[in-house]
Amino acid sequence: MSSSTKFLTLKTNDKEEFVLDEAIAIRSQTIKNMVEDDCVSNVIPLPNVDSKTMIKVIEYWKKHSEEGISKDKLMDFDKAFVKVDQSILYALILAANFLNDAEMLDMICQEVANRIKGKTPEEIRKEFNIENDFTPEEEEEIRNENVWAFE
Amino acid sequence: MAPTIEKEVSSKYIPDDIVFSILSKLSVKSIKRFSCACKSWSSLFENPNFINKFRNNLLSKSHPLYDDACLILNHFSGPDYHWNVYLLSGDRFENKVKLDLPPSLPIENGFDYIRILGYAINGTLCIFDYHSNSRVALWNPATQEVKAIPPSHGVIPKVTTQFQLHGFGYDHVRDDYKVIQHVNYFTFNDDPCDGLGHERFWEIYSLKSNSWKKINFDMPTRYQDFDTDVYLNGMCHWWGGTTAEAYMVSFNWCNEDYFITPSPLEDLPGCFDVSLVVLNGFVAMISNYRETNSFQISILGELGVKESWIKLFDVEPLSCIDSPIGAWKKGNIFFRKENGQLALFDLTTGVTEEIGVKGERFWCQMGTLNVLKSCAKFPSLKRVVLTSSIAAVAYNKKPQTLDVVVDETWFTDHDLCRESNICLWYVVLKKLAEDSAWKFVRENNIIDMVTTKPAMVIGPLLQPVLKTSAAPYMPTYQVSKEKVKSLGIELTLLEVSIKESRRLWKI
Repeated sequence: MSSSTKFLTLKTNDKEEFVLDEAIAIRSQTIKNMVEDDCVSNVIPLPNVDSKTMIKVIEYWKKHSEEGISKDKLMDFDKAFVKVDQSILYALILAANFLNDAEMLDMICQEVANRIKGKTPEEIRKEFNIENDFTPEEEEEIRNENVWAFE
Repeated sequence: MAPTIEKEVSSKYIPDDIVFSILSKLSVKSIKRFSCACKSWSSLFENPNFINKFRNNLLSKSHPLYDDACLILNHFSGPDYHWNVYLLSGDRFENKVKLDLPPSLPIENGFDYIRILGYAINGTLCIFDYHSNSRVALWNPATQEVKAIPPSHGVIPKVTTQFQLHGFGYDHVRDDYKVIQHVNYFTFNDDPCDGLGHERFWEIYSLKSNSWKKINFDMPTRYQDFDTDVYLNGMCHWWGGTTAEAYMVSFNWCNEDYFITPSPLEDLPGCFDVSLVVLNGFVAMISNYRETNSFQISILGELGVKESWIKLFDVEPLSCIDSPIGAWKKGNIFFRKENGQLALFDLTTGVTEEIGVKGERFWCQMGTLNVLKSCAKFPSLKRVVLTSSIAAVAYNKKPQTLDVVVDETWFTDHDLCRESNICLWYVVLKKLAEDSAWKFVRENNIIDMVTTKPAMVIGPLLQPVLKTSAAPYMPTYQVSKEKVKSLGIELTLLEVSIKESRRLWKI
């Protein structure tokens, strides 16, 4: 191991600590900013991420930091990576958002989009916890305008 | 370690901004369906934050359509005032190869206006004379094959006939190349050329049957002012209609059916010029507002649905812009500038850049790679034999004496060909074609490819005239089979030797 390798300790909200190569951890823009602003003491607290999710995030970061890995291999990895329960997927979205990893966030948003694309408005309301604020007349009108999208 | 409480994360904690990011990755159809979910989603395409995300997704996605695509530029320029066809490639279009029109083309350069119909498909171009639309040929610049399309059934002696070519496409179900045209007859009262009584009709040419076939439906013909057509996903699209109403007509090459999508613009065509382009996998309409020279780009979400046109870009007036010509990768739009220069406008940055070519209007994409790509889709396919050419191997500075073994490490040095005084563009093309085929095979890791490099080809020809590799070997003498036998030499029949070569290629 080269002497220049620096390690950071990340602490999740369930008090678990992860020691990670700084070069890998700065895939997170949030951590990168902290490192650059020199406000890293010994441990970086991640109040919005739990350890279960962090393990997945680190798995992703490590794979995407492998030297010389082919695009195809990464695509296969990503495909397998998102084959998880909806709740884990949403936890990953929140983690990627907090850690500010645009690439990872984008990839998971795409997976959610793939999962919901065929749903009905009722199902999508349930999915995203949305309140139907249309009056029955308004809803009928907007449905009529978009009849083609239901075929 | 402190005990952790397993907490189900549900979507209700997802911030709105991320929900928008997710929605922006959906198809227009899904987004329109979800617009019935709640009020704030009912007008997503009017929300600047959402539309920005949607645009960025659309432009940043790499579309397989553009993998190794070249730009084919057809332009009219001095000093000889001929129509020339160029193949442009490279990030900045720095590689520019002029494609010499083959002499066997039924169209005469310098006399006819030569145009390309639609896009290049699997390396094949449909080329025709612009004035009469009656001389058409399929041309593969890489193999130099030319197939002249026979005349239409619609030719009636002494009657003035108007042919209007509408599209060139590939029917992947029947593995056939097709051309569609409309035939109309002019009527003049009391004139011997009167076409009265002859019904106008549509017809389709099929390369497999090498003939035209009448089809019995009445689609809108191309509206002259909107002289553009695009090819996407097995369909060709053109603007049709009348001065009062405009439509996009989409013709499906496989089932020979069509869709009509009304234009989203109400005040067409008075003050707008409209062109169709393919924008990163979407059929898109560029409407150019003549008075201010500003333009708008709308994409189509669903064929046949007027409401699914989505206006995505509203570009401020650009100076010196003559007309939009087509779209390239990642939302770059080609424009012809008023000074005749071809410029690329980047929709993401808003920067216009000249690419150093003075051009006219027409282009498309092409590449030998498409054949391999379709091969890669069939898992049953085990091996591809690419018939390359000795031209891809022999032209380098290595000595070629009797004791030299030419092996798979040999390749033509294309810098040498570029420098040389004699025209070796054919050689360069062959080398580049083979290079890209190997690159594809390596990157996709699917196909076992063997290339053969014939110096001479004998046997029945695909094209009507002799080409480079066949021309010098026209039989000058006939050999008596009996004489040869009497000398103790056994000749192998051509059919047998072809069969044996085929067996060689098998796994």
